[in-house]
Amino acid sequence: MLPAADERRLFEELQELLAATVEDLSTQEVRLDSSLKDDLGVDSLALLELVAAIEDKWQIQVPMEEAEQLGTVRQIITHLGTVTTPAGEAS
Amino acid sequence: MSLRHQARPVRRGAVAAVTGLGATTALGGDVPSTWTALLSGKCGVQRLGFEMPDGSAQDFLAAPAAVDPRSVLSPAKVSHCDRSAQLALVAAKEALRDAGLPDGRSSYGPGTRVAAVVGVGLGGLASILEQYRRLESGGVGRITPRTIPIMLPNHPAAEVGLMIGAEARVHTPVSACASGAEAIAQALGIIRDGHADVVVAGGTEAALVPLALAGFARLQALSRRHGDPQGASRPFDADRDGFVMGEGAGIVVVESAEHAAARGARVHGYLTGAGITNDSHHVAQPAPGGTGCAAALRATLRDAGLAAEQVQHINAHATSTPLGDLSEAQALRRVFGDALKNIAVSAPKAALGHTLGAAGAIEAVLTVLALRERTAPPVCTLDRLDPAIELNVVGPGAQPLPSGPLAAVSTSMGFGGHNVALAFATDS
Repeated sequence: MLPAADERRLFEELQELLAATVEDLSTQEVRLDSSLKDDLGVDSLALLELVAAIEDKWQIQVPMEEAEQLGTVRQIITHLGTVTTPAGEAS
Repeated sequence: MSLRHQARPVRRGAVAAVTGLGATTALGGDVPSTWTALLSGKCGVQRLGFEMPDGSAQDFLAAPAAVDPRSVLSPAKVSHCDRSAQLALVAAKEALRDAGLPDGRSSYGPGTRVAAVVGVGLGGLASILEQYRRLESGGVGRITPRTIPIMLPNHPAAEVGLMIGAEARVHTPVSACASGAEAIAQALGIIRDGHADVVVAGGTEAALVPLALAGFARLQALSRRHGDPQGASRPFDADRDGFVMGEGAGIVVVESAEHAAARGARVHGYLTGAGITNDSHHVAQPAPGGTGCAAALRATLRDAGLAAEQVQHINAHATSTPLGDLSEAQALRRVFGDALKNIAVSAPKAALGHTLGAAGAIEAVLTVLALRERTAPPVCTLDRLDPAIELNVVGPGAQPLPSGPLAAVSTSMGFGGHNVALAFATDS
C-alpha cells in the first residue's frame, strides 16, 4: 500500500500525463477511479502513447500485456507503486 | 436546414465563393496580423542558429512562424502532430471561425458534405528525423506509436479532415512548392463536380531543419546575404541571389456560391478559375522562357473567362532566385503582354520567405485580401528592379487597386516542373 502522499503525487503526475496524451481532456476530468477507456477516451493508440509517456517519465518498462490490464487510473498508480520507490525513482 | 440538394454538379467554369481565410506566417499568427505587417513593409526573415548532427552550430536564414502553434492547440493535439499539421490546424481553425463555422462538425447543416484538401512540400520531415534519432539511440520502444501517421504526407490533411468532419473526401496534393495552390485548384474542382458543399483547402510547411536547409544550400538555391537577413529575399530585384526558407500555413474555406448564399455567409471574394500544367523539362529548373508557367496562366484565364486586360493584380510566385524570377516574368509577359503596365505585381516571399508547400495557399489568402481591400501589398525588399523584368512590381509602399470589379491571378511553381495558377475576383 502506497503512503497517501505518494499516491497523491503519482495521481497528480498522471493527471498531467493523461491531459497531455488524450485530446480534449483536462486534468480536472481525470479522477482516481476513472476508467481509461470509458471515462477518459483512451483508445488503443492513446494507450500506447500513455505507456510510452509513463516509461519515459519513470524510466521503467511496461510490457503491453501488463499495460492492457491497467483499466483505471488507480490501477496505474498501484502498478507504479510496485515498480518505483517513494521518491519516484525506478526501483 | 439541409443544403444537400445544392451539391449537384455545376457547369464547368462556375466559381466558388471564398468564405473563410486563415493563415499563420512569419509575420503573424493569423490573417489580420500577417496582412497588417505585410502592408507596413515588415519582414519575417531572421538569421537563426541550428545545431547540426555533428554537434556543431551553423547559421541559416529562415522565416519561422511568428506564433508557436503550441500556444493555440491543446498539449495532446500538439503531441500527436508534426509541426506542419499543427500549423495547418491553427490556420484551419481561423478560417472556419472566419467562415462562421467555428464549431466544425456541429455548425454545418444536416447533410452538408465537407471536404479537406491540404497540400505539403516536405511534410513531416522534422518528425521523421526526430523519430529516427530516437530509434538510433533507444531502439523500437523509444519511438512514438504515432510515427507512421505523422510521417505520412497526408498527416496535415487527415488532421484537418478529422477536425472538420470531412466525410466527403480528404486529399493531399504533393507538388513541391505548388502544393498549396494545387490544393485550392482541387477544391474548385470538388465544388464544381458537386462532390462537397464546403471545402477547407490550403497548404502547410514546417521543415526548418538542418537537412532541408542544407539541401537547398547544396542546390545553390538559398540567399547568401547572411549579413542582411531582412534584405535577403528580394524577388525581382537586380541583386537577388536565392530564396529564404520559411514556414507557415494558409487555409481557405470555399463553397459553391449558391451554398454560401443559402447560409448567408459573408463572401470575401470568388475563386473563378485554375490551371495546372507541367514543364516536363527539368527536375529543379523552369522551362526556358517560362513556357510551362505561361500555359498554366492561359488555362487559368480561359477557365475564369478572363481577358488579360481584365486582371489588375498578380501575386507572383517569385522566390528570389535569379533564374526562377526571370522565367516567371517572361511567362507573365507572354500571357499578359502590354496589359502588364496596368497590373500591380506583388511578391510576398520578400517578407514571408518561401514556405514551400504552404506558399501557394498563403498567397491565395493574400490575393483574396488584396482584391477585397483593393490594395496590392509591397515587395518590402525591392531596391532596384532587375532591368530584364518588365513588370510593375509594387514597392516600397502598397499600391491601391482601382475601383470597380477586380480580378487577380496567383502563380505557384514547384520542383518537378509543376505550374499552378489560380484566378480570383471581387465579383461572381
